[in-house]
Amino acid sequence: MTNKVTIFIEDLPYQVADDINLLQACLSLKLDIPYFCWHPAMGSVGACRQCAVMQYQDEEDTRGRLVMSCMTPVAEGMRISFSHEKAETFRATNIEAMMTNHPHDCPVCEEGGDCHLQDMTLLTGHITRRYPGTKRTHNNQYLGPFLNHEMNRCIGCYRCVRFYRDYCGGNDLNVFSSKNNIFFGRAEPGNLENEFSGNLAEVCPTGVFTDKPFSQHYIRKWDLQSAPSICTHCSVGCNTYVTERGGIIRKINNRYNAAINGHFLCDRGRFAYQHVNHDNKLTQIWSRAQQSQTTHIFDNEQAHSQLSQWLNETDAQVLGIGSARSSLENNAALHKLVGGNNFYAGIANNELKQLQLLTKTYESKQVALVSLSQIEQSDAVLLVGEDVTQTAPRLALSIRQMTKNAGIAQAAKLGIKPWQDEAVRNISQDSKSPLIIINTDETKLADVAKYNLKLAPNKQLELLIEIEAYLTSKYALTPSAETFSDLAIAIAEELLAANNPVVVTGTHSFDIALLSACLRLSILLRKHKNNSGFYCATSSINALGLSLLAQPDHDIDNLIHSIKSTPPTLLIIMETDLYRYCANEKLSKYLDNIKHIVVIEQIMNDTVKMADLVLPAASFAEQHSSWLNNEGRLQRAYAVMPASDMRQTPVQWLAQHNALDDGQNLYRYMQTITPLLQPIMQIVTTDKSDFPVARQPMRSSARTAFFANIDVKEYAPKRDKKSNLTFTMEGVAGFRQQTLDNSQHKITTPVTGVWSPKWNSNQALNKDLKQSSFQDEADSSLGADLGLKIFDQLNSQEFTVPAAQIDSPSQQLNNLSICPQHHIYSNDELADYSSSIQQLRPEPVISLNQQQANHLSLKSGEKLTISSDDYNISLPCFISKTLADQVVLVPFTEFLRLGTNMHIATKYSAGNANGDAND
Amino acid sequence: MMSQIRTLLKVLKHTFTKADTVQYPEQQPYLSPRYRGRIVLTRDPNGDERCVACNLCSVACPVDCIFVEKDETQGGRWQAKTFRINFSRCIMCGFCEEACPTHAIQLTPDFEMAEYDRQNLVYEKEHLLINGPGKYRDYNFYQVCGKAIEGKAKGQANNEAPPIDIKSLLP
Ligand code: SF4
Ligand code: SF4
Ligand code: SF4
Ligand code: SF4
Ligand code: FES
Repeated sequence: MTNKVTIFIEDLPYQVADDINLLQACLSLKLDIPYFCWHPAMGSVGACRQCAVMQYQDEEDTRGRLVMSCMTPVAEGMRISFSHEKAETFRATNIEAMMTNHPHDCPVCEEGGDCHLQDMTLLTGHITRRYPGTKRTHNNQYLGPFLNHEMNRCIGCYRCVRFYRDYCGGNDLNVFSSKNNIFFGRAEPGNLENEFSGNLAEVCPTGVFTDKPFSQHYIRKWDLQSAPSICTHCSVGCNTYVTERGGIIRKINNRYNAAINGHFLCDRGRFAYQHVNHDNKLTQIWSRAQQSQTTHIFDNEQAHSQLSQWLNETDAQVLGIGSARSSLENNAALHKLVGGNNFYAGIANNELKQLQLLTKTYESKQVALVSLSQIEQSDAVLLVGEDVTQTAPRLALSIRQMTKNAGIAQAAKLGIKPWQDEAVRNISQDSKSPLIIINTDETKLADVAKYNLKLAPNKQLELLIEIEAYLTSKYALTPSAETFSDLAIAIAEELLAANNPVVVTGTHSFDIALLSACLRLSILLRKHKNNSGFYCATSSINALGLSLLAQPDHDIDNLIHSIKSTPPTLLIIMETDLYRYCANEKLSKYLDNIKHIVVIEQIMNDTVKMADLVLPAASFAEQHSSWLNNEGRLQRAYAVMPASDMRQTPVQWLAQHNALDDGQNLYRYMQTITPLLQPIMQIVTTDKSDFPVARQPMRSSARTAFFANIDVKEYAPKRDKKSNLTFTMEGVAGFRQQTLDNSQHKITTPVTGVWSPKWNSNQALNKDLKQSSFQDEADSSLGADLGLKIFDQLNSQEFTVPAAQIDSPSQQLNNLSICPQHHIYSNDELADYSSSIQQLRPEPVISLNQQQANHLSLKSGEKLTISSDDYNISLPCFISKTLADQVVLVPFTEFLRLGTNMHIATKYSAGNANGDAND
Repeated sequence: MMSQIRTLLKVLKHTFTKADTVQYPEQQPYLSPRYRGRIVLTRDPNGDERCVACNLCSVACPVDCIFVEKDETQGGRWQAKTFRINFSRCIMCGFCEEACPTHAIQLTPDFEMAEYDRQNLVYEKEHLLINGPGKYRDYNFYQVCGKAIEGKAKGQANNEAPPIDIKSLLP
């Protein structure tokens, strides 16, 4: 907990937190101190010299001295002056010097209007260029599909490399040359490799790095309509601002959430939105006439009468498929329509099993679910069976920050604050908090990991069980006589040495035994370490939420089984592409036997092609929705624009037929499905906010010209009936909510953007952040926006996690394990429609190590065929140097389609069979 | 009494002064080039479109009657994909011209814009764009800006040093 100290600014006393620097303290007092290089997440280095203020020794001192406020810790009784002439001149001269080389680019710069440099220049009063000399210029580089590079605009604050290299662990961006010539870029032009490169657009205070897809449909910040939303492209549930104009999503901005994403998003989350603008998005109601093989466009009435006719047929047998990428509301509406027995979750069988195991364990409260910010503050992480850098990238970034805590603790002993970045780095050198990775292949966290174990899944399981046994025996009254491997002991001791170790895993291995071993280990650990935590990444944003609604074994595999034996008369498929889970021919055959298929979907895919009635669904940006992330955090997202054309939310499509309006009744119904969703009313009632809040900024332009080409008469803007956000600039300006103390005034209106007087760029956020360097959940000033953790609100239920069974490796596969390979740009279904993400999608390959390649007599690039009952893939093989032995990796989407019963068609030469047969 | 006579005399005198009324439209009044009438979009001295779709005019406009949408040419120039002015709203204040950093948007002394149908007062880019530089003959924004475009590489704008060779070891 932080204490308050009193500081004197211009002889007036102010109370500020004692663990922050002077710059942050002044900003939180709403003083306009200009700065460039300091960043709340990256600390201070004092590189830009912009934040100078005068500091005085005591009341008598009249001379004072210039200090960099970002490098000065606050102290009791400290006296400073911000507006002293000397300090003012210093700051003005500093910025004037920086601007001597700055190009005359603002009109053609994507940063314009959202530019920290513009703001700071005006703040110091530098308006005209006095320097007559020439301007330095730089050639730009191609940096891939996400970012533009315009080096002329650089002011040399070093934020980019500090973020990219020190914070994210990237190594392909660097600083070159010297003095005035310094250049920030890559050694060679090419794609930026780090998963967080997109943040450079927000981190760089100037327009050097700007969002490239945004530039292709550019809109100035003052024209962007924006609403708070949730990223729907992985299970972490980062908070975003979605921005729109004219029905097109223009870009995604980070929305600060102290518990989850903090200041940064991953590139999938930032650039995947393009599916909402895609040419193939569905906007019309289509009906296919079976006999004539023709498609008609229906209107609303026709669609509803068709649907109700099918629902009310005398022998009607209706099944519904819910979606892990659709909101809780939509799934609940379908659940009501078809009934719990007929509601299937649109995920694979083993995943549903994993999710329900997780729910049971979470309900029993035997593990402590931690948030990303808690992981960042923990001091040891055991990461098992999941390459989180690809499946939940933001989580990987938090784990990376965790490794720095050993250094921060060392520095603290010497009285150095965590934000004194350079000093902390000097002191910590190579000491890192332990990160132990157990995975099949090397991950991008390898550079900070203490143990980097690459093992086949059954070996991973063995190791976990051994660690568990060691812990049990260590704390047993009579220690067992078992002997343990050094490795197991070392890992266990590493975890025990930490104050709050966290076990991190995921469901992407589809290995329920591994998951239960992780859970058991975490439960055991928690018995000895009260502060230990658990985190499990799941496959998509609402996977956990969907699993709460579905009954056990009501998943895609079982659904296909059931439609094979007894085809229903009506199948309603909501936002699920069945062809992602099942082989084409087989599935088409089964679907053909179904009398009527209704597909509610956002975008054209193979499943839509099989439908008799297609109802276009609203995208995440067009609906108010609730999402449950992998830690059981319930969050609310708001529509940024009205739904286009005929699109409606599935809730609206089904409202006429399931006797639930989309208001309170729906939420009440949700609460009856599972008590876990009881808290949902709390986040939904925030919709009835105190004031109407504007989605558009105060200075939105072109109001009277935007639609004038269609009709010069101006029509009333569309109204949002379900929240108090308006689709205009009328109402309280969104950002203003933040400046009020929400808890005190009980104001629950969502904040729709970041802005502060004189601060047009996203740096305005730093004037609203709370006054502590620790941004934890308990004392965040933005508390209302953190979401609700449903498992915290519950009385614990008894549950014992079953012991994991080690499967004997499949004989059919010659002891090989076939595992899914994940990639940040090919895992997510909707992200696939984003053209910038498509450019970075890897070529599908099957990976294996040299030894296995020898067994299979394969050379790199030769095709390997893997088949299952009715599906086979044949892909070139890639011989990996880092892959564990006895493991074959196939692309995730192919893995899903292959199902469980796989075999390798190529002949396996016994050779020196390396695998231990006694596993 | 005196005052009434003086008034009468004054009125009488006025019957002999020259009339101010002009016989518009046969007779056209002189309007200074700075007169604020119909808005045009001009071209730079090379004949390229000046407007870079920066949206400053649009945000400056007090009645919000300008809509600009950005596009980029193959050569890297920013340009307006859409440029629409709703003249039925325009109050001819000239703020847009003042805000424009490229001298693209200019008001002209033409005020004869009456229409029977209000819809005809909505001007698109093709109605606004003229073939000359308007009031400002020489200004070429891309010559002072640092962005490289086709035909003007880095370091070739006014007052620019040649691009830095970052591989050079010289101090
Ligand atoms: S590129 Fe941007 S972030 Fe990097 S040093 Fe230059 S101004 Fe700073
Ligand atoms: S980590 Fe996941 S939730 Fe967060 S931004 Fe990336 S894709 Fe979205
Ligand atoms: S003259 Fe004034 S009202 Fe007319 S377009 Fe320009 S800024 Fe708008
Ligand atoms: S006319 Fe001028 S101010 Fe308006 S968008 Fe074009 S360049 Fe910008
Ligand atoms: S912010 Fe203080 S020196 Fe840069």
